[in-house]
Amino acid sequence: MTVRGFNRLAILPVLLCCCIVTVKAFDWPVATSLLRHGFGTYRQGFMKGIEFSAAADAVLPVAPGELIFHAQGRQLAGGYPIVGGSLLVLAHAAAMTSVYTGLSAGAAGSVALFFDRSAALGFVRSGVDGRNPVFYLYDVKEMRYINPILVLPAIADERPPLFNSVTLRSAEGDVRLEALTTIRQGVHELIVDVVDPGIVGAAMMPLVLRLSINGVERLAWRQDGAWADAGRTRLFTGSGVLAASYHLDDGRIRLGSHTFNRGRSSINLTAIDQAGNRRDAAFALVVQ
Amino acid sequence: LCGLPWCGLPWCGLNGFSIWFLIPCLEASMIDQAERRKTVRQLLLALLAVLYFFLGAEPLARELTTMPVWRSGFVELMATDSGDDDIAFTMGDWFGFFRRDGHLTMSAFALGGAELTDWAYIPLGNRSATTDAFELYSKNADRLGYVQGGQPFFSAGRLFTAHIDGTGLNAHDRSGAIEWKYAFPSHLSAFAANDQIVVGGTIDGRVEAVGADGSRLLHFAPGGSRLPIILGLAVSPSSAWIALFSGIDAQRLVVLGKGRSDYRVVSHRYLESDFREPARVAILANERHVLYRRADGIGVWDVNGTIDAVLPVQADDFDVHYDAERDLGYIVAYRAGESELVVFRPPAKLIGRMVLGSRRVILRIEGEAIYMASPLAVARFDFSKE
Repeated sequence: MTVRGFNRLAILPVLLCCCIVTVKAFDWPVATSLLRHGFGTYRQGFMKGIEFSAAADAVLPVAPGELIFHAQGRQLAGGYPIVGGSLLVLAHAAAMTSVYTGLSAGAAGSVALFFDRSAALGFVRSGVDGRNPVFYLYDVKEMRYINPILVLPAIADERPPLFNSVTLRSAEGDVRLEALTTIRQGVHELIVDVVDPGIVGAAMMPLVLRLSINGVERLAWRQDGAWADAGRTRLFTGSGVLAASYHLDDGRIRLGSHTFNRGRSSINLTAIDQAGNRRDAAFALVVQ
Repeated sequence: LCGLPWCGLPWCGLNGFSIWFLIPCLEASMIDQAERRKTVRQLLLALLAVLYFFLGAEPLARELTTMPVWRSGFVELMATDSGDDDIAFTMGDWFGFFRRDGHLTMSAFALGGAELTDWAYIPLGNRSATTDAFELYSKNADRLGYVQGGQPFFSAGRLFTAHIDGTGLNAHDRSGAIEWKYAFPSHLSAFAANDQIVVGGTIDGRVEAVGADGSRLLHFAPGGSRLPIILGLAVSPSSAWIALFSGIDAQRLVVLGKGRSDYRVVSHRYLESDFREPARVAILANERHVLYRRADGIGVWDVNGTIDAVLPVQADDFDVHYDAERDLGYIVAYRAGESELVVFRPPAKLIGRMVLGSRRVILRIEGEAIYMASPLAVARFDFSKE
């Protein structure tokens, strides 16, 4: 190995360290006890950020950053509404951007262009459109919103995700699955109601969701990101699920349509949260 | 005698203003060369002064004054005698429609106000608790339907709802039904629409245009700046031009022109500004001049890049109207809570200006008639120049 070649390889750990330092530089903008709705929950659509309580006071930047956009008021030029009455965008290292909606004027209302973690970006305003403030992390290079759970410090959590219900929907109606359930053969849509109760008072989603039918893995979704592709929002790297078909209006998740033939079948579901807590659910089916 | 010191002839009535006519008599009065040189110098100076007077000096803008024509105070009034060309108004929680003769055809007060356009309105305080839907009414107060899918708004007379996170929108028909949905790459920081297309600019510096059927017409990232972002957008009435204000360090004005199949950059310039907030861009209805926010006024740019001028109008934000018949542009400039009406002839000849004060909104300008709303009334003024 030449000296020049060695130098090239040696830079990789340095870059890795830089990335770790960059990620470590991120922190929660409010106390985690104030988080209310996490990435992937249903808020009249797929939530691409994390909503927090209006009880929060000062909101800090997730990392040192440069103010690139700040709009306050009811509408942008052209009439497009400003969600929550304010939109504030900070640029951070590594092409990462954080977005905050629904804050009242704080330090960002002044002329400051650079923020570190010592100054509040703004304060929470309540009652604007009935919405709580939300923050988002957006990767400019990859053109996608990132689940903040993956970047911000881990939250202590010992409670595994919970499947509230698992339902098979067909033209003949809904069948809620029990340990052993009898269904008619044919195509059924699998619908699950799953939450991660790890953070008290918050509706969060598990980070990973897996489905196996008859021992064959049908999907493995890691709730890592959301992006737009020609006007449509797609979800989760590697799967490209359409956000429009992901949720039902009641917030339950659609895990696709599957064909069940006569005989016996099994459905296995696995949910894993950000702290690694795991929940498995197994259902046996008698298909007639 | 003539007033000119070196002339000495009887009064000729020209008195220095018509220099060329004086030259023969000057020659007659000159005595020697030194005097001649002195005279030529003075003559040249006078000539320069005259040239400056006619060519160089910027005439002061004439002040505009307004003459009140009528005023109609807000009263609760359900729809009566509405016509096809009524003008919509909204001011705080008051909203409604009026005719050009000052007759209010509908006027209502609703907490939260309303979104409205010339054919319909949506009271924002009337959202259904169960369906989260807004009620859509015609200007005759007939319910046309319900609007779901987000926060409703009108732009260029079209009905849209903004996605709840601010990253997309739905287009609705006149019954409130969703026609199409569109998700932009990230949060919208600029928006423009006409009756054919919708253009959105995002916080990551991309511009996407959407056609009347919801299909993507344009996906463009201007680049050229350290930090990408779109701070302002405009689309011309014919959709032939899209102007955008982009980037930080450095900021750029970019004009896209519609070709046979897509949009291409036809002109651009770097700007000296460093705005971190919405920066207004507008295209005059003459489809030629682009107006944009500058630190030292309002910039005027030709879509092809052949004109680069500044109107001396200080504004944090502004609206633009255009009178094609008279080829006059009107700018309503907003700064520190106050507003001012500026009249100019494109590209950048200032005709006059008028202080509007605070809490006055210009609803429409037609010829010399200005329709305005104040917190308690709508009114028509005709302006004249002094």
